[in-house]
Amino acid sequence: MSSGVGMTESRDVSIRVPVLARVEGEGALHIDVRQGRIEDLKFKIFEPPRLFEKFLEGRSVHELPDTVARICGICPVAYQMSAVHAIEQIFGCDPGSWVRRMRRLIYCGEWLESHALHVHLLALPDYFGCASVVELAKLQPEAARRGLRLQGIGNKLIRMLGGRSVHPVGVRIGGFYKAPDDAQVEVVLRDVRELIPQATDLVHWLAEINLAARAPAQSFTSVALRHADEYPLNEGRLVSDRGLDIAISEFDRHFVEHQVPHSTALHCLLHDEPYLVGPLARLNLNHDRLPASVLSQITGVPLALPSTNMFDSALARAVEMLFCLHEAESILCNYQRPDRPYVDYQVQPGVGYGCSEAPRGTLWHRYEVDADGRVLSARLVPPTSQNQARIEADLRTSLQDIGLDQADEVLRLHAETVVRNYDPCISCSTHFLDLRVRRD
Amino acid sequence: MSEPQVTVIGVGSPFGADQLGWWVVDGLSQRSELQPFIADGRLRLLSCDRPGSGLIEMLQGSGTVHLIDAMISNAAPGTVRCLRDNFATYSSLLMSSHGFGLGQALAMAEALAELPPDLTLHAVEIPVDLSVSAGLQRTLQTLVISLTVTVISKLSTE
Repeated sequence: MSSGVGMTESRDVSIRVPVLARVEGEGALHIDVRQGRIEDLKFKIFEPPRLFEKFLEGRSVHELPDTVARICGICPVAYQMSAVHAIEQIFGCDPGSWVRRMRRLIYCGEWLESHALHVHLLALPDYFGCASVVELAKLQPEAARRGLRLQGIGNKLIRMLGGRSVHPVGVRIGGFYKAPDDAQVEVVLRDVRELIPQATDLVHWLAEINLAARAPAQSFTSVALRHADEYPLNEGRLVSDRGLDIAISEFDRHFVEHQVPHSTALHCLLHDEPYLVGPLARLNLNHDRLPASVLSQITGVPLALPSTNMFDSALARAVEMLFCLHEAESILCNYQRPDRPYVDYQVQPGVGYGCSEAPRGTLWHRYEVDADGRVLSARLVPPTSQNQARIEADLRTSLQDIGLDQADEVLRLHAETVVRNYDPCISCSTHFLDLRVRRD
Repeated sequence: MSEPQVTVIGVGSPFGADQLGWWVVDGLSQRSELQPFIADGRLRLLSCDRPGSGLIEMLQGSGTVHLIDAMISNAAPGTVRCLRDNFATYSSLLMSSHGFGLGQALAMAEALAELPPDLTLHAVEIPVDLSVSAGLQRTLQTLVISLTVTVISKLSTE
């Protein structure tokens, strides 16, 4: 919904998108242009606060993996992984190499499921001028089928270790409740191998479409985990391309969350500046950690890394999907069923930190636990709240760039495309409630 | 085990009457007349929580599929509509999550020519407050019985 006044360079424009389509959760866009300048711009998150941090207080740590999985239907594994790592840090529990590999495997499933969903169902319709994926499916049926197959293998990987693909229940502190049997692994491994060529095709197809040609590069800071020798999923130090290199426990010294009136999600800044988390930031900071098997299949792809063109994000997601399939193949073809898929641990009081790479970016958790294993306090910093300030900065730059004299409908569609490109997961980000009691 | 010839999918969420698809599938799984077909794999019963585009994969593998889902259209609670085509017409009335619900999944499957040849959507009207009345429960019992008869009839002739 928008209204324009005149068609001169200095016209006034108000763009209101009351409900953003094809994003997870409920958000809106509010842009006012006065005399050729953006006077007001808000990426509004109005989904009611979900209070998960408070729900967790007083609960036993054993309940954490299943409870935090309920925060998001698309990235439940990310919440489970950050939580179990934080609690295991408190308990001094090392679950061992089998659990570590399986955690990477289930996380690969989540990246595949989430990235395939975003690229095909949420983002691509914008680039083909389609209102929905149903229209896109008629225009590009093979691309849509490929997207569904990639999403499907992600769901299978999650189901194999998590019991079900949405809100999985297989994860526990110390490992998993159940190990897959050899027959299950064989079937999934066959499917993974079949899909590697399709993921490679997707990378090259997206490179041909050249989404990055739609917008110039911008200036921003990329932030992601970085591991000594792996593409990061569950472990690593927090790094940026502007010199940050910290342990995850030092997050609060550098990143500050704050409330803005127009959002039920906290904004998070790094040294008072917006920053990017997510696939493009990860790839920018970790492309040298991609295995040779992936690099050999993307030779010739015109993706110059590091990239500061936000429209390279879809291509970054495709590269990560290819990585996930290779990683899954590597883990599955060396699979050995353990006698027991978890290790024991001793409950201890303390503070622990978990940080993992959700499909949309870095997901940081902090828990304080008492001697009985009850949660005293919980803090969750999801990627979408970290990206909010960056999204608003991007909108300002992008709309100025395409020209504020463009027709209202062009501005509105471009603004929505910019927001969707970040794959915001709004339901994940709305944790806080600003409660003010006035007593007379 | 045979390949499934008939699949019944209950779609829902854990919220009140939106679970009705699961309840119908549970009811079918307890019918003694259906046990032989379940045992030999010719009848496949599935329940799913807001599957989104994942529904398209579930539709594959059987020639005949029955879908059960809740609908809100201001009709009397318990009203059952059996739809065999034009699913997109009803997409806005079916319960959906993240803007991609059962109606959109069926429309996408149709666009990709991946709808099963014999598909019936049993859409059961529920109240806006998702409450479960005795009348709605009777409707679901009747639906279990009629689906049992339909499935037996289909599998007995093949």
